[in-house]
Amino acid sequence: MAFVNIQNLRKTYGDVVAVNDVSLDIEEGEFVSILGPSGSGKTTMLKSIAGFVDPTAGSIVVAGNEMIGLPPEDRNMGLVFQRLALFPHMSVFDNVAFGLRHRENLTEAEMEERVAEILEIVSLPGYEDRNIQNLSGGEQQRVALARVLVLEPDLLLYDEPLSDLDRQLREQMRREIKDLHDRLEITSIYVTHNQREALTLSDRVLVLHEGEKIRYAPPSEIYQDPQSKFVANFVGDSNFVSVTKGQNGTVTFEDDDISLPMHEADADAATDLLYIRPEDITINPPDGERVFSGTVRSTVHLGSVTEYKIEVGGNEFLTTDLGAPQYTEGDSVTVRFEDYGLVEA
Amino acid sequence: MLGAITDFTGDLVGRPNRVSDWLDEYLPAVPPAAYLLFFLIIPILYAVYISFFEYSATTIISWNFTLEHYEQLLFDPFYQGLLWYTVRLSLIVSAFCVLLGYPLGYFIATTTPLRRQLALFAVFLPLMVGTVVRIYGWIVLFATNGVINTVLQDLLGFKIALLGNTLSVTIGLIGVYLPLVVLPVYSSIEDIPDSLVPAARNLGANQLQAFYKVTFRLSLPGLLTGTIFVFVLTMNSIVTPDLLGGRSDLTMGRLIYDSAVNGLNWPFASAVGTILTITTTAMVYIYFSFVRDRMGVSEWD
Repeated sequence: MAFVNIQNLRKTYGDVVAVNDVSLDIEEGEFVSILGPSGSGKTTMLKSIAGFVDPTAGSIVVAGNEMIGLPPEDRNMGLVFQRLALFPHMSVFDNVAFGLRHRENLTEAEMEERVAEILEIVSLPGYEDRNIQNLSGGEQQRVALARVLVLEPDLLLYDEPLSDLDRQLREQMRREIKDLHDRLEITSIYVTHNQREALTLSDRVLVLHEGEKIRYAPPSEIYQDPQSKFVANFVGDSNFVSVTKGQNGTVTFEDDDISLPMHEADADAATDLLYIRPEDITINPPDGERVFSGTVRSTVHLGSVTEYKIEVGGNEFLTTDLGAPQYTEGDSVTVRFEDYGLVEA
Repeated sequence: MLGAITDFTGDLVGRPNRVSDWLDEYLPAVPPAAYLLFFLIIPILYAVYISFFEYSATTIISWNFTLEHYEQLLFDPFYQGLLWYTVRLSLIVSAFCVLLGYPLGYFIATTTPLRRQLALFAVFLPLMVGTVVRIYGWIVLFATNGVINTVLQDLLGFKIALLGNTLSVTIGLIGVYLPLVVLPVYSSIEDIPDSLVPAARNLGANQLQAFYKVTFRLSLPGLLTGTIFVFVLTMNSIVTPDLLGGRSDLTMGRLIYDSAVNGLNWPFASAVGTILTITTTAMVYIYFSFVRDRMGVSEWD
């Protein structure tokens, strides 16, 4: 059995189904993200695993032990909270030693050693006597990590720990979490609504939508083969076009005479929805096949890239191009659809 | 504002304007400081001053230095007993306000919004009604010829003394001062982020340990504020012991009132007031230090 084995987890609040029969296997040392919009049930799932929510049905086995029925303090898991939940009335040392005092029988000297060791790992050496309130956001974040890492938990749980940080610090902490996981290899579950965090951190991503498991696969697979409209839209942006499948291995845009050759993998797909990633549309390509003419409808400069909306036939397509804007509203351009695929509506 | 303008002109002239800096910093504090000086500090100092002079039946104060009031208060068993009665009453009332008020404050802070509003309304309501009005309401109910005793007499043929004893004073004071513990406790518990107790549980603390180390510890400032309010006010209480107590339920406050207003013995009343103030301050300080040192509350330093 996998290191973490979740079977048919279900949680209902009255008539509302928060988590609907979700099953999940996680191998030892794996980093798994639970990705979904708010209300998708991801936090309920995490709280069930940590022991703060009683699931209506299902089982959660970690390292061979059934967790359902155990109080939170008897599950050897570390939880990093969204708002960190550091104890404001304690020093850094007392925050980090809190779990050691309850979970392990150590002498004061052994405790000091363990705390010093873990503060070294999260790059806060010598911070023991600091007051929590006087730390910067990034330092508090590292104390929150140290506080759970010091217990060497079976399972590390993250509840959107970076969502309150500004962009620069978020990027930095994301890299630090990745780096810590690569060094310590603690099995981790990371709950987020941020697809970028999920894609960059994880070995596998569970996509949840309205309490249902939509996909569970490695990030690259999810991005390159989203399979459903929800995933194609939630994990990266996508343009969608209704198409009809032709006999000769082509798909034709509805209301337009634009036809594209169909991928072999899509031949059996029972759907008529085509998705095209913005970065898979080339503007003014050198002459070639599958080039269509269109008109630029809007231009937004986002810094390193420029976002265009281009009308081709009866549809508007979002596309991105590197660098500063080269076309303005009303320009006539040609486009080529480099890659695309069919997804379930 | 004044300082901003003078700072600017000061820069133009090229030297800092010390007087305006000083005004900018302290001006807002002048009116309350003046008020405290004229209506609190000077009267108290004057009261302490006259407590060292003799009482005269004709001129109230005769300006001959004496320590007789303090001798009497500190060594006469009657007055010793009176101070002890006041301290004991205040300790008992404070203790019961903590025992009843903390759970109630905790309940209000953690219950559903609707229940919270109802409970807060119930706690606030007595504060809206003046103490005297409320106590007269109790007297109507509990007096020897009050509603309850009339019913008892008619049904069972006997009466019980519900008023005029230390128990009625104690219960009355607890009723009057309970909100002063409930409200700060409620407010300090409500300020604790929701995730702290789950965090403690996740780190291996059971429900009781998490409550003690997180919730209780972080609500201590509120509890401390509330108990100090109750203790100080009970030490100085006059109306409730007077209306609900018997002849032996004499507090230091009642003694001051009797000496100053009925007996016109201002020097003696001042000496009682001085001893009461010193005792109250000392006990509050001991309590404060105890909580601070034992509970490791460093943010009050």
